[in-house]
Amino acid sequence: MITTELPDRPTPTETKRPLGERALRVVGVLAVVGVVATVWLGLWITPEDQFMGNLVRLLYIHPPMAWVAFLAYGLSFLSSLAYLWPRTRSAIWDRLAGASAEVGVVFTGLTLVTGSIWGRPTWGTWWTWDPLLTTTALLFVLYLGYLAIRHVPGTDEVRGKRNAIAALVAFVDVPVVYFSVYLWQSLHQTPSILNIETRKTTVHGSMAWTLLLGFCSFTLAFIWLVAQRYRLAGLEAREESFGLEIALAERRLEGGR
Amino acid sequence: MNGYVIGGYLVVLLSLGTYALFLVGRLRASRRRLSATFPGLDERGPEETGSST
Amino acid sequence: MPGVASMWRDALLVMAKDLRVELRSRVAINQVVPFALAVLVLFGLALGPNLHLLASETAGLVWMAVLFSCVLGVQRSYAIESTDSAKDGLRLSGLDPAGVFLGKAGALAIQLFALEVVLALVASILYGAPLTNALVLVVTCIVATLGLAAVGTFYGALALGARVRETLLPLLFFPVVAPVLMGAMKAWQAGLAGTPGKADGWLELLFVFALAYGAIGTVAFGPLLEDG
Repeated sequence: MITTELPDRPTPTETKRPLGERALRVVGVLAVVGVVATVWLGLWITPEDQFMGNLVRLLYIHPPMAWVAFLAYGLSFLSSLAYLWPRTRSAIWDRLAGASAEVGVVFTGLTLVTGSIWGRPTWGTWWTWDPLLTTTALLFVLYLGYLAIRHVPGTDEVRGKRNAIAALVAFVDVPVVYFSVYLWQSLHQTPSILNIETRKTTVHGSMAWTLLLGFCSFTLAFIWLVAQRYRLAGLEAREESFGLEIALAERRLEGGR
Repeated sequence: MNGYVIGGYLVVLLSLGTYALFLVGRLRASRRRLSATFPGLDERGPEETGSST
Repeated sequence: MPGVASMWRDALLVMAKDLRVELRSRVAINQVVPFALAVLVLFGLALGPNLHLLASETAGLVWMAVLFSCVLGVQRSYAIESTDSAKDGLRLSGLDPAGVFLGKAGALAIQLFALEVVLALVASILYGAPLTNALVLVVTCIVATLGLAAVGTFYGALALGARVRETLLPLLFFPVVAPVLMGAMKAWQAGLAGTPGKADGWLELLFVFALAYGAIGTVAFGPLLEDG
């Protein structure tokens, strides 16, 4: 059945947007402020590290990228579970899972890029096959596949179920992949962001606060982005169902002549 | 200042900024299309308003 | 429990049917095997006539060829269902969907295993790597193939109904089976290098993987095929 949300009388403009709009705006502003502060602190205020020099500044953005990517996939996983659970089944969860995964892919890509940028001056290569980075690379492709599945045609119920199952299976694969890659390369010590240099470094004082700020700001940015992506999905679903209404209305007009 | 560090920060800021603008742009376009056809429409998705597809 | 028994019975039915179709049409033999052999040769070309390199990397190359062939095998496995709508055909057949999954995965595994035997023999010639510790190699093939077949059959069902199935399936399949590639490659390397003991951990990983994805596929196949 197609939704018929066509009001005959125009509704007041204040109720046009959901109540969460103001909260979302606050989140967005806080995110921007936080990110800007992180950049300012990270690039100028905090000191160089005695071992890593200026490269330590990348520590304020690379781990937050990875954290948000993980958060995104976790949210996708939980949403997919909520969808599959009969009592809570709703397109809301499907849309949320998709929105979260898409944002997750963006942050995963950024994790890879920042990790690679870290590696280049540190070890001279743009890529090290260390377990974290390699797992992240596979994760990237894994979720691109999930996003591709979401485009496969079908009824809402079929697609919802299919998407949810795909998200669950993809998420379950992550620890397996990580464990395998860890075993696979452990025989040859490859340089890793978790190795020598970072252990020598003690993060304290302004560096610790900047790191924390980084995590918080990018988490807020994540929330804002997912919320917007989620709304976009809702609007597009509406357009899709109304597309038929609009076409039918046009047919009726034509028939009336 | 290390060029790599600046590059890293730039990549992150530009990517997220572009993505955010992209989302906002598509949202505006979609809202415009919907409200042009149905003025005064509230924008919650079908399921949130209790109707079923 | 009648449910479990009928599941296995349906599995055997479906497996026998798929294998019979292959024996009659010989698509795997005529197309997939030559494709895999071509891949082995092209790997040789890609790595230059560096015999030392080829011999030491035989394991990885063979298993990459197996992965490519598995994708083709999955496509074929679903192509042989009724052409109009494989999904409806599978569902309306009245068979237990879990059984259908196990049957199709089983048939695919058997065909892949046969392919691996051929590839092993050819690779040992092309790359100059003697097949030492054959037992380790064989056991690896069995465990790894079960995992590959389970994942492939599962994602084949997931991608049903997509016009882009040909391009979607490899994209879905490859990242997930990366652990199998690593495990099988390492286990084979251990066997070929004369240190079969090192393969144990990897064989365990492969076994767990096969169990896990076998279970996932068995449980999820039914819901995936449902229309609502």
